[in-house]
Amino acid sequence: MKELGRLTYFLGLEVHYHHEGVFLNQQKYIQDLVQLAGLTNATPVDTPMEVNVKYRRDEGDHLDDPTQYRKLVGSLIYVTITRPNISFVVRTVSMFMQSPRHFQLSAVQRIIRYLLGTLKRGLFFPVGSSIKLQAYSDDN
Amino acid sequence: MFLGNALISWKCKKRDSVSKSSTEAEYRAMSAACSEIIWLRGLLTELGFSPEQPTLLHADNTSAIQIAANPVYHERTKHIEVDCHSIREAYDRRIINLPHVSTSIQIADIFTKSLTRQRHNFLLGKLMLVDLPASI
Repeated sequence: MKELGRLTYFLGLEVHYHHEGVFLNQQKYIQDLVQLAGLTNATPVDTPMEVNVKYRRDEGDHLDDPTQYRKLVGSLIYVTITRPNISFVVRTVSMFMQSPRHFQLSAVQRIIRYLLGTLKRGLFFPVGSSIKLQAYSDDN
Repeated sequence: MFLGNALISWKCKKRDSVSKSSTEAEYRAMSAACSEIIWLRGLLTELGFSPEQPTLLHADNTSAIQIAANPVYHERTKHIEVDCHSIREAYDRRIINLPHVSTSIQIADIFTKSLTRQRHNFLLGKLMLVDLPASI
């Protein structure tokens, strides 16, 4: 067995050490995802999902290539590791994996454009934080 | 769920059964959260950080909190499966406590609906979801 030192990169997950804590993000993984979606030069948006839009199963035309949609959504599920704020919208678009349509693809592209504008963002775990466990639960 | 200030566990799920009321839906969500709490507390204990206080489970529906905290028979909850009621036992054994949190500072809001930019950004800070600090 070989000692490889501190963990810095593992399966797309980047680990940054800081005197105030540990920071996790997936900048490179997201950049690759943006490229896969062909949105490198798209305009970033500042929220992952439009407000008050209903996504229905039978709206708009079917996609010619559902595999691309599934690839993108699959990758987005992986991105929720360090970006929990997109969990809700990713869950919404993953309901349409079976027969995706253009309308839903545009929602996926919006999430990716949101990520494009916030590439460096990630989760921060401060040192010296208390070990008190707290939970929040909600339903809609 | 937070350990101190750090976000360590979360879940966003489409509900798997139809609920007859928002209270019932909320109660089911709390029960699921409660199972996660019990597991996390077990993990912490195994790591040598045995929690001494009950874990706070914040919810924004007072009726759901009532159902969990008050083990009397409720006509409107007779159809909820027994496994959901494990939360009552956890509350009884002081594993969890059920404070009410107003919807405006309900952090779990971000996992349940689409939000305006302002509200979205407000909750991001609470989740410790930040940009890479410059000094790294």
